[in-house]
Amino acid sequence: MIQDLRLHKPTTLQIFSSSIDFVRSFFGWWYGDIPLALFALLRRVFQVFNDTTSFGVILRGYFRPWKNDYNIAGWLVGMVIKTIYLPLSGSLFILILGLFFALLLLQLAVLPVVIGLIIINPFLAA
Amino acid sequence: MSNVITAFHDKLQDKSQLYDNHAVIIDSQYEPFLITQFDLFFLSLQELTERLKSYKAMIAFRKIKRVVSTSLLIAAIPLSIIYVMQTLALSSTTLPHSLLVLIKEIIFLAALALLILWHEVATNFDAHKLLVTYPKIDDFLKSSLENQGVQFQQYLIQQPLDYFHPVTFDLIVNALTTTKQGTILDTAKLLKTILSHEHVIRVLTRLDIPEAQKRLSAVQLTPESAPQYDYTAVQSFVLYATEQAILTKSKRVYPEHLLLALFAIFPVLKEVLQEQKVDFMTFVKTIEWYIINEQYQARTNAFDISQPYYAKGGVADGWVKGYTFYLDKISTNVLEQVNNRGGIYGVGHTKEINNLIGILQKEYDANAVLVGDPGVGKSSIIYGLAQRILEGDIPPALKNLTIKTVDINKFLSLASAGQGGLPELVQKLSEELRKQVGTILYFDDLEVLLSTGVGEGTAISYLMPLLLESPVPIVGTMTFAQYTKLKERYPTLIDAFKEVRVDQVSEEDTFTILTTKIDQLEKMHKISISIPALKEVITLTATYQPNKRFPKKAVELLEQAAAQAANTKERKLTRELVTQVIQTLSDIPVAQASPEEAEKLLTLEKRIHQKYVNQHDAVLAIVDSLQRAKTNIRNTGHPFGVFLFLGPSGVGKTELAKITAKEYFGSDFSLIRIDLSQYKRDDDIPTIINQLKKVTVRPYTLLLLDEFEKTTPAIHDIFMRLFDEGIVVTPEDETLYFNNAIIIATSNIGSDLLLKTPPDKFEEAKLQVLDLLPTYLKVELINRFDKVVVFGALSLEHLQQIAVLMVNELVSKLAEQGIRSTYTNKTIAYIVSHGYSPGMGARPLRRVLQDSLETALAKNILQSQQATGKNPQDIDFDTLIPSN
Repeated sequence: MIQDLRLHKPTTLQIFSSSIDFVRSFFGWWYGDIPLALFALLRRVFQVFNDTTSFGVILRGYFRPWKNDYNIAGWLVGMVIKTIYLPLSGSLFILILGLFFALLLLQLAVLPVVIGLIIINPFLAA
Repeated sequence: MSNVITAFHDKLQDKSQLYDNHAVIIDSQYEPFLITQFDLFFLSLQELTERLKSYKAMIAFRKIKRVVSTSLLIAAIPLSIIYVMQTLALSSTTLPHSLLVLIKEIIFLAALALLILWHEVATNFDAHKLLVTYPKIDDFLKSSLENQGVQFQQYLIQQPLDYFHPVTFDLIVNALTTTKQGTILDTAKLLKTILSHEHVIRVLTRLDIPEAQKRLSAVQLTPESAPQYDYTAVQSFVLYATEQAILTKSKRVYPEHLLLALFAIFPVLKEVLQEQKVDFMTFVKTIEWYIINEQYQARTNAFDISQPYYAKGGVADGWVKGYTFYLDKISTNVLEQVNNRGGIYGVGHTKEINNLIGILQKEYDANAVLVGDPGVGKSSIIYGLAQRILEGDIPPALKNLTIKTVDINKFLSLASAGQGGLPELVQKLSEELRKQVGTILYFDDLEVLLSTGVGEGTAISYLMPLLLESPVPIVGTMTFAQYTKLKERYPTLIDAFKEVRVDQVSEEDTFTILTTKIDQLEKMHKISISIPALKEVITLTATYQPNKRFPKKAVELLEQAAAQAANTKERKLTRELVTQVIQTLSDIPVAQASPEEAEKLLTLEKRIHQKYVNQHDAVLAIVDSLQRAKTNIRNTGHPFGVFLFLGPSGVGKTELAKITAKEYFGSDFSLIRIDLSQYKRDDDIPTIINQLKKVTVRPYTLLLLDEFEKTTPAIHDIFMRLFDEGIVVTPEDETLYFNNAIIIATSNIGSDLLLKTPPDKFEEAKLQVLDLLPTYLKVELINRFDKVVVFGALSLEHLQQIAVLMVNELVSKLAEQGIRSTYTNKTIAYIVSHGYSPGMGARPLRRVLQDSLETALAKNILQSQQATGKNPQDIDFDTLIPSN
């Protein structure tokens, strides 16, 4: 035997020490993994949004004529449509971003703390 | 080269060493580890011990946590209703304040429990980290490791258990037993529990070997094959399972990887698979298929952040590109097709796709033509390219490209519908394309378009300027034959296209391609497809359809067999069904024959002799070659057998070939007969090639080359490669395959000598005849015959036997018409005495039979029909033959 290992029924102390690990893991997950995952999700939402609305493509081709038709009408139509379209889709972008941060702040950042506070509140009041 | 290496570190000598024998390391002096191009996977003994020690406590705590949280949640539901009713004064009973506070406490505790359960689901139902796809390890790393020159600090240290699916680790812990001596790992127990895991069961079912589970867990589990180790062995099992996960491109280490690790450690387990006729590689490939398939299914969810996102092209993408009114009418967007259809494209053509990408990146002359035999997957290269564009796995210059495949029929019908015809359409398309950015035009079977029309009205005359100065890259496909022809006729045009040669894909890649079809075919036909059936598709098409190319021939057979499976009761595509389908398609009785087929082969010699007299050597040579062919021990790159039959006229050389064709190959139609005495000029080569082309219709055939020596040496040269490799290449570059044929050449060389030789001197005469051969045929041609058989002259006794066979044949024919006939030796004696002619063999017998017996018989039948209106009931041949 190189190391002693006994896989017996765990003692109460061992179970209690697991609960400490759990608290550490829970807060690490809540304030570490979840925001990271949410940021990754936000990134994905932007990717899908950008792909679906062609926001980037239109923005890059802003000074190109409509359907590559190189004449005055082409330039004019292109500029007008894009000038209307870009702010519209852009504001949708901002709305998603705003909603995300609101959710992140209101729900995630404070939720367990608020719940905890509510739970201990009667005891504090007493 | 693999994408992961197993090694160990010798702590005592402070040296690292490669380790590929997958034995379990239990000595703490050696620390096993895995190394990839970026990461180093290592599980220290201390860490393992700590994890195992805390495992049971963790499980107990998790159980308490789940019970408490769930109870709180269940209790909170009615309590919430009570609380709301009390707060809104909807209830007539008023609860004491302290009770309401308690209810409120429980509700909020339940809210906290909900978060705890969420944490539980998020952290304990999947691996903590996901494996990535590692590139192949370069030789430099391997040699560095061998020479102790690896800079380990450059590698990211990874904890393999982080990549374990919780179920996999549970299986290991459950296989640990604590005894007085310590904790041991019982591999037999581990194997049993792994085998009952659903992932493993589904693999065995897919392989059509569900009974292997019982065999693996019961028969093979001996102390030698699956021993008990000290728990430190877990270190090795964890690493080997991780290695298998990396090799099978999995993101997590699943129980099946632990099973693969067990297979690597105990090769004795592989024997069970062999018993079930499944090779280990197929087993691994099946596991890999499930993993890849699941990952592929997960791709459909755009918001799954564990999967890469592939751009699909947005709604306003077309705004910045030019109008394509005409192009849209005649083309389809390949990227959209790939995206909508799903699937994996371009398998086995990575080299060709990379070549194409290289050409398309050029600023000028970025046109390419994919040249290859029909069925090698030229179109799949374009689809593969589209998939790479969608997945972003492409150089920046080609990102956001669109590929439009032009339907040539639509193109031609649109041209004929317009007033200006083809020139006007080409001009309009040119204008549209000039305003296009980021589009590739793809023409499947480009030569169809280029060869449309005649004289000045040919499509090529109008398309030439568009093709030569196209503002967008053009990609087309052609076969070798068409490419060569067009290159001769239009060198300038073909030079504007860079040639990309498309080779046949390997059998391994074809297998992968077939696996990508499973889902679609299973859904379409509502059947289940076993993996061994796919292997059978590849093996059989490789052997029996040599004139077709992979992957198309395999895909076609799979699709046909799947359609057949839908008509069966079991709705299952098995090896046996695949064999039946190819047998019908190729008209070839496939190897691993049925008992009837084996019977047919074993009795072939007897059956030939029932119709054929003497020449035992020749009969045996043919029967032997067919028996070898049927048991698949022959060289498949060679015909079944190549024989030269020498002998005087009428001794039965051609007759034997005909009888063999009928008895074994099924009918006279299976015989391709070329009388070479008719081809005495080199100009006759095309005619002979045309005759040989019949093999494409009947690959399972007997090629009879009569009077072989009577043609020219140039014609003989055609047969050099045919006799050797079973191949003839036509001037049009078409390859004809004779590897499922018997080739028999007949010749009269040395006939005079054989006729003059008395029977007791036959062996000496035979040697003399063989010595004569180089005078007529090239030595290298003679050497290509598997056997040269010299037929002896027929004796009177042989002629009598042949006469009996001929008369018996006549008896059978009459019996079919309801006429009973009899004969005695008198009839036979008459035929032999009148038909015997030295040097003429058995041919005169047929003449005598015809002139005397058959003519008299015909008259007799006609007279009976005239008199009674019916055929005669009984005929005695003896009374019909002339008396002298």
